[in-house]
Amino acid sequence: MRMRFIMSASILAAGLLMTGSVVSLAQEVPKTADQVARPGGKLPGDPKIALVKVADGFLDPVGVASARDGTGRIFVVERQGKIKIVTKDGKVNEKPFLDLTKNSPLGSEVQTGFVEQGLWAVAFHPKFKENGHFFVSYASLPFNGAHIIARYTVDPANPDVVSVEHANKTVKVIMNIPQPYYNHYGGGIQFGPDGNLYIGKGDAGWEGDPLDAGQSKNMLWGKMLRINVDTADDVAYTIPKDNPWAGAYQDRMMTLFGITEEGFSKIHMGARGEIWSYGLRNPYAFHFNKKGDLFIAEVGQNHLEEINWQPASSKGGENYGWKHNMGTNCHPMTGPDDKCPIVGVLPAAEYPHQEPYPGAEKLKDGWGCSVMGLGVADYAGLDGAYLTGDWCSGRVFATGWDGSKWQLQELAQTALQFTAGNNDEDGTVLAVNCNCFYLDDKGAAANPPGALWRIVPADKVPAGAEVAKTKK
Amino acid sequence: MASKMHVSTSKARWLILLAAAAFAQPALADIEFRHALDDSVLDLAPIKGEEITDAVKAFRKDGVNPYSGSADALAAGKTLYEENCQACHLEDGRGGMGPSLVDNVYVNSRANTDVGIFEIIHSGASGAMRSFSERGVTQDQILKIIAYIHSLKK
Repeated sequence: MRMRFIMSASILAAGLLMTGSVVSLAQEVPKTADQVARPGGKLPGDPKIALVKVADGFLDPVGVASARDGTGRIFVVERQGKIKIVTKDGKVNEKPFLDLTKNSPLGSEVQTGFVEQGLWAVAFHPKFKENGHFFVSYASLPFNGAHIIARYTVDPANPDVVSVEHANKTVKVIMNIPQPYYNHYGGGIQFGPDGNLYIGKGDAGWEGDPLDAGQSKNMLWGKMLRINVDTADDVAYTIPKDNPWAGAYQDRMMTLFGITEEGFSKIHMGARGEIWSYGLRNPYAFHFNKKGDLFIAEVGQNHLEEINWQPASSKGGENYGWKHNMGTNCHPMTGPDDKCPIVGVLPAAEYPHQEPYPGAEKLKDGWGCSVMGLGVADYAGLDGAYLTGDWCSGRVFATGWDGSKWQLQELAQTALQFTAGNNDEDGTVLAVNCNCFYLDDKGAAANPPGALWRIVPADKVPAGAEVAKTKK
Repeated sequence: MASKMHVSTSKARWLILLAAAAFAQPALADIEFRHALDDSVLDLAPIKGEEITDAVKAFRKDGVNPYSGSADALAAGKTLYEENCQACHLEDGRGGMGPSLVDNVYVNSRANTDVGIFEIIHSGASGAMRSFSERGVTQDQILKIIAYIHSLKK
């Protein structure tokens, strides 16, 4: 008996030695609400960061990207409809890389009437270095606020400036998605590791998803979309055959017998083949890590922000629950102990607004109001955690797996009003901030300028660098 | 007066040090205004076209808002509040996108004083609370806004 105990103890000890001091569990989507990370968490090693200014003077910067072409250029998206280049040495080129405010004799191409409208994002084709293609996502003025995704092509003779003439010559419209209300467009675009273009598509606006867009598979609103843009010039895009509802909508002969219930369940008449996942409210920003896992920063409504994680092995089709739930909350939320079914999959992490439920005592710490995805950090001890910045509270949160569960750690509270971020070519997380208003906005070119920041390990701040103000 | 004669030696030394420190300060900056987030010293240099009024000079000296309760200042403060603050904090200050200005929950611990409110409006705090000096609001106007905010607390 005693012998057996010693043997099993030594096997256990050997197991601990092999796996480290804690038994590691495979990273997974939370299955129960208590597995969802909330503020107050700690990542292994308690990582510390600083935000170092790269450049400033941008008018309402709301997007940023690297072309990943070895030039070290960073492309900052201004809401008004311009993309500015920051060179490797931190200088901002005077002439914009792209200027959509001048490409039409009728005026700007971009609708900026509401602060959620404008030019949001640029994504460079994975083979940009060879084909010069880049894609933009914006609210269109000529199309009355519709969400347009268009491809432009760089003139190899003039790699830093796509002239109005060259832009108009090379433009290819990929998508034109109508927009009934002026908010919740989503707007972020990224190429996945599979080479497809992913589009964060908001629920089309107002509040409370009045169109029931999140749960309706016959609408593009309230979804992550996934399309193939490597098509002939006269084909805007195609639907990847492995999208979850790629063929589920096709007209077909009806057969009632000899089919299993599972077989019937795969018929989704009217479902849009572009849909990758659904049940989203306003996925403005999302990012892939090197393994192909997808993080989605899902902007919530009155009480909660959420961060979703989808493993690289996913075949798509996740339902993130909106408008039945917001994170682990019921929607509409009426009190602290609401009871309702959780629809679909849970987020990896969530954080509350200052008033976490109607009538709640106001929080002094750990809150925000609008989560902006910044990028995946594989440095500073962050080990692949997803960084987000809050538009309202300036807080930078990291969402990461600690070996056995998800953690949401507040890394800093900054003075910045975050709008977007992205990974630079070397993996560094970049962030931009505006000095804008949500309501009573005076226009996309009227606010004090914003800036571009680089998130670095706290002990790696270059000498003389300007560091973002951070709560002590 | 007599009690002053009985201060202990250490306290007297402290008072002397304090007096020396006070003389070392420039005359205008009797109160040191600091950023709500990181305590860095604020730059209160006038913005383009701004005149540092007597009210601002007095406020910088003792932290007392000369516009408190003044009917004219409250009227001006109301207009300024509507133009700059109402969108986020709502017309009665109960808070919307921004925190309430009329309850006793202070997101920034110093916001329970006029100096603290001035610091936040002038140079911003965190996230969506931006610097209103950068948006062209003068320090004199900030004092009028503060006077108006207090009038909402009823």
